[in-house]
Amino acid sequence: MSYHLIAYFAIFLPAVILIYQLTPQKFRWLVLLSADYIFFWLISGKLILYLLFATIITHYIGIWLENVSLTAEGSAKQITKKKRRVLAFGILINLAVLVVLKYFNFFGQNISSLMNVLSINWEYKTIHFMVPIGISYYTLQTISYMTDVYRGTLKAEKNIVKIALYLSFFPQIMEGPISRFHETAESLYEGKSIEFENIKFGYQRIIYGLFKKIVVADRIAPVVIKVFGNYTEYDGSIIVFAVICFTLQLYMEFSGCMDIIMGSGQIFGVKLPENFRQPFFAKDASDFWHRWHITLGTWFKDYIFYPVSLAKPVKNFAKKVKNRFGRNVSKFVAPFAALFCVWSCNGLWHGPYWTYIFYGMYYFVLIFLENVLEEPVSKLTAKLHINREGRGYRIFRLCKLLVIVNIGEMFFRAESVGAGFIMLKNMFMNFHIHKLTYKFFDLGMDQYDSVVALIGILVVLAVDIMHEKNISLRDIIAKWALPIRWVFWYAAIMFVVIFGAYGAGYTVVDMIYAGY
Amino acid sequence: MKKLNGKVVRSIGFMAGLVLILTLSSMIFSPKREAYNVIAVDEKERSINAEPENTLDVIFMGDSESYSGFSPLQIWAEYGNTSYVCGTTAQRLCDTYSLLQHVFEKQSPKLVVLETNCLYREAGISKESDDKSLKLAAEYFPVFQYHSRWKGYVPLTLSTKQEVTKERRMKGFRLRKSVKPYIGPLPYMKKTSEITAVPELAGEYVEKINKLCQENNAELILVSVPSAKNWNYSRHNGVAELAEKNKIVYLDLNLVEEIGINWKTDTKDAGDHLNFAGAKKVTKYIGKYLNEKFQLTDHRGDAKYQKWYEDCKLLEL
Amino acid sequence: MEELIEILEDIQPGVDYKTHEKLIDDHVLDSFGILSLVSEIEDAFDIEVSPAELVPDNFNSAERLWKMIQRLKGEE
Repeated sequence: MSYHLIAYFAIFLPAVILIYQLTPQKFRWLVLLSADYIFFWLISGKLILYLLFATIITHYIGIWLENVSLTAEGSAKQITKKKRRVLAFGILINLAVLVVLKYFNFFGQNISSLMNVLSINWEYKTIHFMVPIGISYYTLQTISYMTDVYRGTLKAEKNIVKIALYLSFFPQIMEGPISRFHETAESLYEGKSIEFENIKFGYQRIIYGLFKKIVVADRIAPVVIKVFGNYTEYDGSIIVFAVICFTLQLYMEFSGCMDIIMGSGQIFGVKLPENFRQPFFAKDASDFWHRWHITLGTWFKDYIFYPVSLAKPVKNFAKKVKNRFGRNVSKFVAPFAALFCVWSCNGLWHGPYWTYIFYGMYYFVLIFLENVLEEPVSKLTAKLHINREGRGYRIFRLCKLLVIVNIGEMFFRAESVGAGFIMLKNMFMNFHIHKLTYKFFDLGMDQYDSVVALIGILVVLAVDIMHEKNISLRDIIAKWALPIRWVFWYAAIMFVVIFGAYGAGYTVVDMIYAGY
Repeated sequence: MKKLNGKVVRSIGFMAGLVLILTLSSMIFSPKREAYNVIAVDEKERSINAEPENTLDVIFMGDSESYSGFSPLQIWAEYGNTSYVCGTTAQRLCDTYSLLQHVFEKQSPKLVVLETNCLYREAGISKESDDKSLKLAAEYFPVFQYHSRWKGYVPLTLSTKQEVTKERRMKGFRLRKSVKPYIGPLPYMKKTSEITAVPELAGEYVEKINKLCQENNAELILVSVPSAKNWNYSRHNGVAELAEKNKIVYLDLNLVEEIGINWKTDTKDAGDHLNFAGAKKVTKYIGKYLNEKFQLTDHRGDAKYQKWYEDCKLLEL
Repeated sequence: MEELIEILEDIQPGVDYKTHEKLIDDHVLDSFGILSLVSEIEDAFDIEVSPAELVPDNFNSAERLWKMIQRLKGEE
């Protein structure tokens, strides 16, 4: 079951809402938890044991950490040291499950090829692991909970139900957002009555998400599949077009599914953290990542970036560099180390493929460069009297960002890193725009599909511009007179029903981010 | 409580309105006739509508084998008969039937050639999507199944050069030049007395189609286009049996050596479909065969058919 | 406090740090800014800032920052 299917938003979700509301408040957590586990079971079956294991471990480690600080004797330093060992143990266990299930084969195969290079004859036999849905997401949540308890910003939770609810909430289990314990656990457990307004607003957001996913993303998908699958056969112009298509598909799809997820959460009075904030209005690559898959970025910031940059070895090394080369060099030591860790993890988190690792390194280099060049560039622009907030510069900045993002996503989606470079080469060395116009309607979208996709993209662009200007479209619509409002929502629903790229003639496209 | 009741009434009202709209739109979007591949059938109906009334002598029906093998423009160039391929991707016999009904509204062909590969397609509806709930919804509101037909209601001409118009000019033939050799065992037609009977439902449909043709003064014949991957002798026997039962002429091109299909060069996908080279050979033979066996008119020189010459030129045949 | 404001102005000039109360929420300080800020105040006030302290609550205004510094000084 995926969130964009009728089975979810027209059957499963309403059923849960109804049962939840009919149940007395005291037992509503039970309804939610059952719904979570049924949802999980429907997709991953017996693999739910992994989730239960993670839940129990996380709960136990939390309590253990608190016990250490309450009962252990010795100096504060000794206690911290002991706590750190407990935390390391907890993270290791949860992470080990993820690493073995997702990455074991990757490392095995690569070690095997490395051995072959060294002419040692050892063949790695691939083991087929069944990976439970959402493990990449809930594992990060377990780590953030345990670390927060260790840091003392969070009290250990005695009630395991809250941990279970926090890790398994069905709207977010498949592809995030990655929430923090304090953001969702209480409201999930509370069992507040569902408010009429929340159902309304929730479903409105679900409709908008379906629009992005079914009308736009799934319509573009065939072009992406076709061109990326046969990249050697196409002209550079067509590859450029397909790459742009993929970036659009990914944005529409991921942010659309997020809308469905947020809407579902809102119905139960749970405020899930937003994952997108108009990413294409970003200033630069690092700002882009403050606006795209936000919860993953903040997770890496809080649990990798800061700890690494404040770690003793890094600090000591920075001091040595400072003594030798001065502050202007040493100030980049900590960001360099921390960014490297963050982006290696970001790449690997998406999956055990070199393309993802390359994608991570790509952003590592770019963001580090942005960081280093910030000062020289601002001096240069000041000297040349270029206004960095002026229109011309902003257009330049936007173009630069779009190039960076599109090339990044191209490597992300490419069959292999090598394939990505061949595509890149074709873009520059083999670019004939007439080939694109000639083959345009032959790439998987006919003229009707193209027009609908374009309309859809313009609608989303308009909405994003309004959000960027802090205009809440939903509030505007809510102020309209009832008949107009109804006509609007009927039209929106029917637009999705009629112009959705689903059913005969279209392929079913799975949610991309549920695969990570 | 009163306030809540108002909200409940309003939301019930909203849902009722939605059901009404879905019902109405379902009425608009449901096709006139039952067909399996509605989208393809729709497109075909539109393209055959573009032909002037009563100008077609022969109609080819069938699945992808038919539009890969029969080239109407070549028949025109060689024999002066007008024909059109109404074959559609994965055509089922219910599609064939519904399309033929449409053809007979404006055309009065003498011959209807049914390619036989579609007789062995499972007659049931295959899985179109994995979303069972979508299918359920489509049962109550057909708009969920037929929504894509909006494309047929909106006139849109963004580009002049297009695959669709090209296909129309080729009278339904799809010109494909790619080559992928067949590497399976040869000959694939090994004589046997085994019979793979045509599925019962398909047999019934052939009877229905035959009756429809007779009512419209057309003769139905069955033809098997060479396909090393799909065809074999026991299927040949099955179709022969059906043809005899219904007194229909049956021609199996897989057994005609004279055509000279080279399975290394004449197939586009390892023996499944013919490519352009294969189609040329098959069309040459079928053109000759039809003119020898049936009385077809040579329209060459008739000013009414001037356009056929133009189309031939356009495609550099 | 004056020293802190000077450090802040050194890192990201053009902001009125005495009154601004949403340095993080308004993205005045990004994660790099926070890093350089931390290394500066660690040196200047001879304290150690742990990752747990790096929350918006401690960094949203100069005053909050000052409070955190005082608290950490007390712990030393």
